[in-house]
Amino acid sequence: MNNTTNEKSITIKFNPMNIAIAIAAIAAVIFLYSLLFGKSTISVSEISITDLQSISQLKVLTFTKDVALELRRTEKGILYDSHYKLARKVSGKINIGFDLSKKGNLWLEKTSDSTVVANLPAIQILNKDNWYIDETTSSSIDNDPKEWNQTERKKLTNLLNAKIKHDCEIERCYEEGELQAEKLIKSWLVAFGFKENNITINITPRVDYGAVSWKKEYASDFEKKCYIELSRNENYYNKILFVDDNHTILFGNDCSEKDVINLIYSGKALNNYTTMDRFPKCIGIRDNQTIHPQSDRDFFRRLLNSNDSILFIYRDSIY
Amino acid sequence: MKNKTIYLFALLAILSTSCSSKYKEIEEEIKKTPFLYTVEFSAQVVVTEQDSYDNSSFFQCFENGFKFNANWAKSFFGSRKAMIPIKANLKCGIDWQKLTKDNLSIDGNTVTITLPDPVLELESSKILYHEIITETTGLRDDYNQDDYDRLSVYGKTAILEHNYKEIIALAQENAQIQIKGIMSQLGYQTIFRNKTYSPAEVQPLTIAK
Repeated sequence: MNNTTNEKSITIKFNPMNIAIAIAAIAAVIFLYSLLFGKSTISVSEISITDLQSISQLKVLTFTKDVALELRRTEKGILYDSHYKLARKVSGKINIGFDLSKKGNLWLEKTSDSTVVANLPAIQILNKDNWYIDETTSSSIDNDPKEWNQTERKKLTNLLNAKIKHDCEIERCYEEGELQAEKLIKSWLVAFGFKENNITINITPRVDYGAVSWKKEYASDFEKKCYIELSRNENYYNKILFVDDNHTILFGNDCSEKDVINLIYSGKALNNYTTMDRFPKCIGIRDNQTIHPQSDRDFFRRLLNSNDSILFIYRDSIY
Repeated sequence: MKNKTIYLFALLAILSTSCSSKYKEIEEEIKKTPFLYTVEFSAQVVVTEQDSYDNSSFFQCFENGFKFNANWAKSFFGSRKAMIPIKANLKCGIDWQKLTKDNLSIDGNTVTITLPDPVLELESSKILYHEIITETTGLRDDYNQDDYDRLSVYGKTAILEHNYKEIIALAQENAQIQIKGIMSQLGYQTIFRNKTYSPAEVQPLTIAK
């Protein structure tokens, strides 16, 4: 009997007429809302130009890549963890070539009436600030504004930036660029009447490096002086790591302490590749690895096998 | 028992999707187009979006219309605005491939060159996330990544359509100096068919993709 009474009261509470009125009211608000906000004003400020400088860079190859990254994460909860994701698609472009600024015009030399020598510097990525992404053509596949903050968005884009560089290296773009440069310079000099046999092209060997971007905010924590970690042999380092101004890590193998000291005090260091003939053994590194200064030593030990002795040199201390 | 099985499946489902990331390869291309870059610079722009409380947008369907209080709507529904700074790295230079026999003639120790028109290239761009300012009130949604992407396109268009006459003139001048230097290394004197550049005489710019 009691059950019957309860059912009646429920029926009265959810009167279809009331529901219809409520829906109509909500629809009216949504309609008004959509009419009001159908329009927004977008304005663009004046362009501000900075860092203008004259350069001399010969680009020989462009690597373009569209790549997407999807991140999934679960939030902390007692019984249920909400699942959400952010996927971002970006377009990246890496320009590869030679920075001729330091050599001026001296990279090309006519040694006799019929012979010519081109001494090109090491091939390199020409992009400024190690940034390859055009974020203005990027898009999100899925996102939840309440879950992702600016830091996470920035981190995601940084991961994609590193991924593009990594893929560029896998595609052997440097090697392809060097071949392309040889063809280009030769065909150009042939147009000036030089015979192909009389043209010599020397390209400075490139130091292999890993695709790690060191977070700039951590840089100040990293001591700006020689940072020596010895674990087996005090006079010999079988791995050497250079950290340059852009926080890219350069790797080298089999350097004696004498070599390293000469390298540091000669003031030429990374520019003098003739003393670094033993360097080109490259060590691969995961592109999306984030490194923290407190754990960097452990990270590199794991990377380079635990018993290897490692020398860290911060580039600022060299120059 | 049934409940335990359900919880077990739910737990497995959560674990299988937690803390993972996945790259999707979309498109890749290697272009072998040589360029001589002679100038680089950064261009920064701020894109601002603001809700428009224009009475006409709401009442345009009513021919006679009546007074509408925008402030009332603003306080009731809320509003939102955003300032999104965008920074782009650009380079300007000449297409090295166009320095061919067709564009140069050699007469003894003198080479006459027609320098190709300069090309502007947007190398990369960034949304400066940590400098973004947004303000959202009432019923309005927060800005999300789609909004940033949508607004950043306005920034890119403004950057590419900007008149960089002085920079282009500098790029052309630098290209002449550099080509002249290379030629002198080869023992040639250089004459350029192009006239001397001044910002006022700069030709419309080609934008490289």
